Amino acid sequence: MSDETQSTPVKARSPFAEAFEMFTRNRSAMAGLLILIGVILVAIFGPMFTGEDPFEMVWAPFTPPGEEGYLLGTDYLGRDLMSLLIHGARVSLTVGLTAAFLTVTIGITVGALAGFYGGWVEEVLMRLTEFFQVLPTLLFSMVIVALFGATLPMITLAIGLVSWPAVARITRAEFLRIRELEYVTAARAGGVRNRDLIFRVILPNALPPIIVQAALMVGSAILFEAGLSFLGLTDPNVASWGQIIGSNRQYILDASYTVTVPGIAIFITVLAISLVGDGLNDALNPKLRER
Amino acid sequence: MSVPLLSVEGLSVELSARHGKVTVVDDLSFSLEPGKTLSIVGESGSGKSMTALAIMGLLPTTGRIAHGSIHFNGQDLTQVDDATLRSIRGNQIGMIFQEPMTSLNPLYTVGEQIAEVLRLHQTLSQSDAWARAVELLDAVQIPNAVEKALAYPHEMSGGQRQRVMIAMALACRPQILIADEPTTALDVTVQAEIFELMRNLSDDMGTATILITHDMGVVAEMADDVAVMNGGKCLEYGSVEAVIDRPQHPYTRSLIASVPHLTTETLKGSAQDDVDRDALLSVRDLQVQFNVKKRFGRKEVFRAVKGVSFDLEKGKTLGLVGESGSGKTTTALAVARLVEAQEGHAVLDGKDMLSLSGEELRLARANVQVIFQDPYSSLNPRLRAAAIVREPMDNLGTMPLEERDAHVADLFQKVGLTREQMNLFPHQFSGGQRQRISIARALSTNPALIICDEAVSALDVIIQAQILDLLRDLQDNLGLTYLFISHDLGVVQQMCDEVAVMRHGEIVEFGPRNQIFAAPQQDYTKNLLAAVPSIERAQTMRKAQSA
Repeated sequence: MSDETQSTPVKARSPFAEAFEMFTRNRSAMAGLLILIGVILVAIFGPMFTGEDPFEMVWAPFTPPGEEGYLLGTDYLGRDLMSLLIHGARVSLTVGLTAAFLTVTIGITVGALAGFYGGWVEEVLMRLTEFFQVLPTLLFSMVIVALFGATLPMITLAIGLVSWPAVARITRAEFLRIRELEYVTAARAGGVRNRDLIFRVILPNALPPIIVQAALMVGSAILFEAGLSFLGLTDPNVASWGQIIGSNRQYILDASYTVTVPGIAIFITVLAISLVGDGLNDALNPKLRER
Repeated sequence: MSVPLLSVEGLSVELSARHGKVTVVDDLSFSLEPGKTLSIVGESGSGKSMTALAIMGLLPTTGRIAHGSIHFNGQDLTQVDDATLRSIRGNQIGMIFQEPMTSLNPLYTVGEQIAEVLRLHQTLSQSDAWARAVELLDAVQIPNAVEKALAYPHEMSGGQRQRVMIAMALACRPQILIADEPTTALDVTVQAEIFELMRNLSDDMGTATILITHDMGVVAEMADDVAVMNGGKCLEYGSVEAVIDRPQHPYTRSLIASVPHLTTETLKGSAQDDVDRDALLSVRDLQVQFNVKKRFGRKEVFRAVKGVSFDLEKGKTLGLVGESGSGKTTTALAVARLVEAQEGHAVLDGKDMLSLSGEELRLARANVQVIFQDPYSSLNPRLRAAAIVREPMDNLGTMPLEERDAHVADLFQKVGLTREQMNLFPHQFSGGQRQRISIARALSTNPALIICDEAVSALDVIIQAQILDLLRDLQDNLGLTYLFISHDLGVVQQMCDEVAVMRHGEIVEFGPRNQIFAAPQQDYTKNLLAAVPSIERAQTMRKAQSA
């Protein structure tokens, strides 16, 4: 027979502290995180070593990698590919993070209001979500960029605008589930206002799948930006990885490295983000915890 | 003494967990004779379900039989290969599970599901299997079996689904039927019917039964032999007379003592003078409806509560009893304005809760708090225990800021938790401790009324008895008023001064406790009382039989 009021000296461990421990034990996720940290460090400090202007023409065009001291060679205008790549990391990551932030902000707001209030609020918001979901994403973002100009903020906005429905749907589903749980009813009985119910009681508990989605969203936003750049819809004044590929695409057969090198950078970064996202999914999903 | 059909010897089951192995069944031995019922009784985590799964060869992938043997019909089931086990499973040993909703496939009709079992094991033709399925449904007393065979699981009630499960388990006339808490999800009257059916079928077919349960009352009424398990070990094993009448192990004794059994009450003289009583809560003509969406956007109204009226005196406990769907929880939550009522009044402490709105309503919530059923979903997993208890105070401002910390500490002590536990998160507590946190939260605003919504139903009996004690102590010391919702009549009898019996959204009988339990007026109340498994009644019946 157990004396259940007996106190055992246990350390307080929040669900997120446990998830963190779980994450650190996941080898592929930690590998992804290390790569990602590396890319971020390069993006922040890299330009200090390569010079401030990546568009400076430093040597003859199409210098193959390794020759004349240019580790990754030069592109069709004789610009240092290494410098472009490092500056591109900064731009691509910024676009990815900003677009993901935008996506999550819109998605959470729409999904939370729809899931919490139900009724006509939900009807209107979910029809809106479906409208954005059925739009051909690439075409729609091309239209926005074509209409409002190919600047980096506009490209980011376009990516955010076409990506949020997924987050909204996940958020709504979590809200629908959690709002029926007894602790939410208990909070309501305890006089918690609707605003606090949404943001302080339900949202923190709905976050795990949203965090995972947001992490993966960073990767897909980077890919999306690369796709737009490849089609020429890019800010010609900044060096993003997609822009490097786009501007060199004519020479893909003659100097394949000019396209391959930024392609590999995108691949590695998105892969790292996916690994982190999967790791987060495993760590935050209590059903997988005991494995 | 006949040869045992099944004999388990020295069975140990291990589960591999993150930190090494856990022994969940430890050196368990018992035997089962044809036509007999063995009951394995214990609390959650005692290893009783694992024993059943081990016999069926259905242990989870992390589990394995460490040692011991399971002899069935001369074969050791721990040694045979998977193919043999498969042919035994469902054919010679059948099993029914606790949750009748999730153990049936929602995409097939019940007839198809029974017929499939028959085709798999007995190589019957399609039409023969179907005819036999209908026969079986008839045998488990499903009315209109020919038509019901074409029904999908969601078109049946919980009791009917469990009957279908029994029909499936018995389809191949197994020699042993393993029933793992077969009636825990069902109402008490349905439970009584299911047990009656199981008894009759095992008499007819000579099936031996292993009945796994947590309820000593059920054991007393159903079993021939009992094995009491705790922490994977078998503490006591013997005939039901020996174990229940003369329990040897202290754990068995406490298990029996914790069962909230119905005691016989004598009707006291009519002290019930109808003078103007000082009602704290006065509910009049309460009506609650839900809109049910039907196909093609048609809306239909479900009337969950149809004109309920009652009074509750300060410092007293009113029990709302009834089966699932009777509207008892809806009634209570409507009073607390956690469910919206369409009509009626609920005057609490001079204020009609149903007429309040906005900020006025929010602040009035301080006066009525709820203790919920499920200790696992009623606490916000992201908050520390102290923050959970503080939440209502902070939101309703019922106490000056500087006194709140001390009040929380005081509440923790009152509900039997320690100061150190204040900083822990909900998942670090056991079910009973979580319910204590829930109680502390409900007390934090000093409410006039506390609604206990099946507050002890999810707990093991011993913990349940402790929580009931706590609720009673708190009532005595703080003068609390409870609206106590329960399906368990034993618990209601222990806790309540007055009882309202609900059915289909109406109160069918209302009165002081001793009147309801000693001289129920309505047939429905009588049936409800008769359906409760009782140790005493089983003992008297056995004595009558042996005499």
